[in-house]
Amino acid sequence: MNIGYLCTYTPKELIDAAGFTPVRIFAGDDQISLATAYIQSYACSQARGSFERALKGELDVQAVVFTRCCDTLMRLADIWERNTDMKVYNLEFPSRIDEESKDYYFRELQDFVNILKEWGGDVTVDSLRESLKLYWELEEKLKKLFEVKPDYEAAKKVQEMNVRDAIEFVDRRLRKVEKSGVGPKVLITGSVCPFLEVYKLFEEAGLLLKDDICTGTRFFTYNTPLKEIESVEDGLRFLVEKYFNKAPCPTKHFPNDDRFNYILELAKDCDGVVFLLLKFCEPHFYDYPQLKEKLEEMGKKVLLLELEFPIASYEQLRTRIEAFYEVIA
Amino acid sequence: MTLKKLKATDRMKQIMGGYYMMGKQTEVNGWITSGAPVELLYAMDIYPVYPENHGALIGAAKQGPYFSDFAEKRGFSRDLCSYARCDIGCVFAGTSPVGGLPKPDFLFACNNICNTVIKWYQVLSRIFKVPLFILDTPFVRKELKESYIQYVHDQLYEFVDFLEKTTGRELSDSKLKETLIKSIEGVNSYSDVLHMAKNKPSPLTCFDAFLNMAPIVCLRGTDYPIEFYAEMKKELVERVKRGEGAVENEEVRLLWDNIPVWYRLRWFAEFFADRNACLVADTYTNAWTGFISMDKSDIFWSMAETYTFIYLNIGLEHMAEAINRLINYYDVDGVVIHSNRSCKPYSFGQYELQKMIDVPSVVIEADMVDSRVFSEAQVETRLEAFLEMLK
Amino acid sequence: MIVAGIDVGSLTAKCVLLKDGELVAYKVIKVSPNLEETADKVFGEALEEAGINKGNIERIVATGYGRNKVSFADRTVTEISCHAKGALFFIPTARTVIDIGGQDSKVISIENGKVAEFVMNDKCAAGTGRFLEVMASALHLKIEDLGDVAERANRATKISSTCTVFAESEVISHLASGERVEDIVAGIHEAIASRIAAMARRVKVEPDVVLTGGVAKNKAMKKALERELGMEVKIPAEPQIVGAVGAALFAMS
Repeated sequence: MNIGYLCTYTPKELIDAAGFTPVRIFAGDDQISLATAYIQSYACSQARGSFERALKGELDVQAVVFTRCCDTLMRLADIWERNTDMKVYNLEFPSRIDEESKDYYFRELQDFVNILKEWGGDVTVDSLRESLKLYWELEEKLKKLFEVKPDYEAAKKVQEMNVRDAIEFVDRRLRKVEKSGVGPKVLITGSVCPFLEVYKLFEEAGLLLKDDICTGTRFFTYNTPLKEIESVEDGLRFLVEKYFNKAPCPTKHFPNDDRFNYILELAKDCDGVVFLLLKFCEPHFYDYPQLKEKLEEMGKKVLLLELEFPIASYEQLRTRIEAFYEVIA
Repeated sequence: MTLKKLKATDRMKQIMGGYYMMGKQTEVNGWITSGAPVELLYAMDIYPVYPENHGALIGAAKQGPYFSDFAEKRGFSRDLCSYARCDIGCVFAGTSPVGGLPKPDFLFACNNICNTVIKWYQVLSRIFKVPLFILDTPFVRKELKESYIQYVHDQLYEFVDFLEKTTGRELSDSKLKETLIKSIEGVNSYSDVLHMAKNKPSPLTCFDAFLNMAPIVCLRGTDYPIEFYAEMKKELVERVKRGEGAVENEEVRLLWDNIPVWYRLRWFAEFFADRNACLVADTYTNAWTGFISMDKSDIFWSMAETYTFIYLNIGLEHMAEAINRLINYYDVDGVVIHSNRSCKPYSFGQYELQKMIDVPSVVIEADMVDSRVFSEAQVETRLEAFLEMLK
Repeated sequence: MIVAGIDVGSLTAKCVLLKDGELVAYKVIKVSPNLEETADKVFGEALEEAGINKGNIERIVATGYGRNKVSFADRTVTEISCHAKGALFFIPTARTVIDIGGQDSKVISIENGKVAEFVMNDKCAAGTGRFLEVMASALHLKIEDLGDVAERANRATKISSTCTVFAESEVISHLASGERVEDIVAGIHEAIASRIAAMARRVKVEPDVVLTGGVAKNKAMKKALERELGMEVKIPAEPQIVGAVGAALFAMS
């Protein structure tokens, strides 16, 4: 069974350990049509576009796990459950990420293990140990690959396959990858962007990329070294640490403004920052003005590109990106 | 046609005028979201400031676009919640229809009404450089799990520590109990007012409820709502005795869903009254009824339970159940659904709710404060057609 | 008994005269900024056409976006009720009515000769006649020629934007990249049809499906809708005056 998910705060390791395949759901290339009968047009096109594919029967997933990322996905869970044959579960990831919410998240993970069991998948200490190790391996390899040269196609593809195939896939990429040339470097920051042509536009404009994108480095940037586990409970505790320490996302609340500091740190060696924001994405748009101000104080040039999926006009984007190149080069 | 005015509304204006005045003199204040447990603040004599109520007030004063513009000029997107845009806009403008809100000593956001408030209050905390406490209430899509209540329960204790540390004051158990009892009495008194709409014809419309809801939101836990709503009820009982409806010739009884369109309150009220239709109730003001279920043995546990299972923090099945309860209780013929661009958790799922509720419904597109997205002709046609269909 | 139905839309105004339930005359004119004058004019022209005196008209019902500007009407009824009634006049087996209007599109489901449910587009203009108008002008075409142009397409260019403003620039960029005008026009039709079909799915779509409004004369639109809905779409003899006929029928009762 394939279990779909939309958010990188979904514990893929548990799904894999239960014998299922976690599959990330992205918006598709077709115009959004069926979904408009179920959710208003001021929902972001990642939500509408993903649901569109479910309605069209394009998704080979039998269940979907939602985490409480934002108000839109919170409601989408019910809409999804009522209008598809898929099983739907919401794992309530805490919105505040600190010491006080760790126990709660641990209990949510325990509940999730029980749900996986109801769905016919057993998480054992051995299976969990293996899954933790495999994901760690995949994440390390992706990091290595991106250090040589960001490969958004690889990042996207591995999210749609079993972790074992994913590791092999990245291995093949690692053997072929060549270091990118020279040029001004930009940080792209935003939620998801599964449309690979967008990244190409940057490369074609002569820009080197670094990213804080949910379908890019935020998918594999965890900061908790792999640990041996003695029990399933041990594994769940490890997952709490792992997900609490991952690259921070604006949908969560961190003490000490960790999210802003993370971006400011990433931007240090970049010549400019491009906000690649999805129209109607509240978490990112609330951050944008103050983050932009801080970046500009650091002397960084900033560009905002507002996207809607599927992307209607690459040429419009190209003009903006090329102009930005001219500004920072 | 002229709308019937309730005398209570004048009293409400006095009370709320006093509330805003008080804010300018108070020693310690915290900015708080509308669904948060304000009782803890009142129990410690901390003045609660409600940016959402302030947003509604700006909307009703038809100044939404004006104040929102101050935020938009700083880069805040027009697609963000209009309460947030106005609130942030007023901070930048340094004023508002009530002369601006007092600078906060701390911020308190509870995401039981939306996740937006987390982001909005983060913005405020960076502007004011004051501490922010997030009370995280897990979304109850299906079952209210004990682990959810435990989590919220523990945070309430943590919040008390936060308050004591931030203000240097101490929370006394007896003062908290007293405040909670007042809160319950206030909520009961308020619920009695709304329940008057069960009468046929109804002595009040949801527009009366909208206009007079501020005390239960902002002053819950003080004496004001208890007295105010008792007074308001008396006036309504008189109407019922005289057989007088809020709308003359009440033919159709309707329910409103979502936050009101504040800048068009009067327009809507007249529109329906002209067509012998009475919006007897709404899902918004009803969200503050039956608020606290107090199990005296563990107050914090009861509060955690109550504040987690709040109307906007529950799944569609629970929501449909609540709406059907209102439909049944108030005997309504149809539902007017406001698809509110500013409020995603309230609006997404409405197309599903249409299929889950017991009477016909119509969707109109608007925004609670931003009048720039309101199209009178479009709304009018949809509502008129709906009434033609019902009659 | 002679009655009149006047439908003042955002682009055109229509007037219909019925005598004992039979259509005796109708007129369609373009709307001028002064809606009241427009209503007066279309009414006058219809009377002239029928050779009937104003005094002989027993009752007048106004409908459409400008219905409240028809000061001489006895009452107003919304275009939703009127389109349902009018559609039944032309096609008695109608169960679903789709009307693509200038600024509002609607899908109406009919049960037992009455409106059972209806949905209309959200605020945005995609999926309305306005969308076609904007696209026609971007392509330097007349709106009434769009259907014929689309019929000559080899394939339909994909139009992804749902927003009218963005779609306009998308169309222009398709032109710049050498797409055939015919294919782009076909794509525009598909885009609208898919919006309408999506909206229609919020009510029960049951045959017979009837398409009304001026756009119904456009064969390409009929075909695109049929493809999207997976069922035949019927067109009344005079699709543009369906709302006005409905209004006149209301005037009879």
